[in-house]
Amino acid sequence: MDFKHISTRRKHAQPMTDIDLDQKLMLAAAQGDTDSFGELVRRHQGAVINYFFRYTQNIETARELSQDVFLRIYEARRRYRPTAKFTTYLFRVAHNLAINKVIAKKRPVSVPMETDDPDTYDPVIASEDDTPEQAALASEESRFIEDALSTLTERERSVLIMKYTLDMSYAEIAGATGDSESAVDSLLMRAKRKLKRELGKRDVTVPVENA
Amino acid sequence: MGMDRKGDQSMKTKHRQFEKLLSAYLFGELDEKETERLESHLEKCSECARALRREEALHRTLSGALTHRAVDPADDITDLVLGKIREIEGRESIADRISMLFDMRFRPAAAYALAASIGLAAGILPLFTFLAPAVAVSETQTDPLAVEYLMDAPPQSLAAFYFDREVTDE
Repeated sequence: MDFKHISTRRKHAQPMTDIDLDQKLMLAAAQGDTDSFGELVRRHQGAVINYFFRYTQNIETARELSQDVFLRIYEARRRYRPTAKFTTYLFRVAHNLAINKVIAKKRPVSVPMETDDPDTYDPVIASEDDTPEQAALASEESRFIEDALSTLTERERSVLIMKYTLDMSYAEIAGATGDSESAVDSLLMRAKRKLKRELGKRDVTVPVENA
Repeated sequence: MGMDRKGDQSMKTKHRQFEKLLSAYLFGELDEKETERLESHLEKCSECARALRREEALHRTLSGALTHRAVDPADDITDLVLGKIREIEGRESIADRISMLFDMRFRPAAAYALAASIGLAAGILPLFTFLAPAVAVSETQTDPLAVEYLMDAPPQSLAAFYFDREVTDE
């Protein structure tokens, strides 16, 4: 039996020897170059908006929170030191904002199955090749999962999104949350266990491929 | 019998140890040595292989549901952020100008001059407010002290006049 195709072997992070483009842009922004900061926003807004969208399930709230993150970074620009990757710094600010209780209250507890609200993305994950039935099923499953996400703690949800949506490594997540890598692993396992239980309650079966 | 139970227990512990690695394995987070150890165990252990398939199914479902979406051009926040930055910079430039005047290391003379002006202004302004009612003398509202000062025109300064009266009063 071959299992090797299942694991997506991650290249372990190399020690940083040079200042990367993000850090150069941030250092230029600290010197008053606003265009460089605009470039940083352009480069990373997608990841930050996605993070908050998965977190709050509301695109407008996600955009507002993302602006807040970039403004906080800009206001602290003179204290910035390129000691870690810029994205680690960026998601540390985002994570801290996300686990703030005020934001947690804004998050809807449950996502309605049918909505005309233009602020709510339809999280269809099906590809164009799917039949309408398959697409509808995939969409429904996604909604169940989004709903089940609300049963997780703030930290569990944040870490799960960093892993599944942003594909961040354990080391990157640990840098952003201030936890150890083994703590990140434990948080992810706990989150998945809870989700599995929730999906079981909602009668969502996860298709298991037989070898 | 006792041996069997002991064997079952150690097998369970072993499974649990390997199950803990499955999530990290799927994320590609295990190092080469751990990966080899787990893969050789999975070859022999059908229970752990089944657990891996269940874990992989959930992994796939979550990856699909939480997938990264391209940001719609209408959701671009760059201009909004830059607009707010210009506001921040406007506020900061006023604050910077004031703090530059107070920077004792580089401009002590300017800082002393500004502090002296503020001190003088703070000392003189209240006197104007005292004088104001005397200047606008009316039948209904008159400051007797101020009127006395204007009528008698004492030789000492206005400040000394008020100071003496306050000391006498005590």
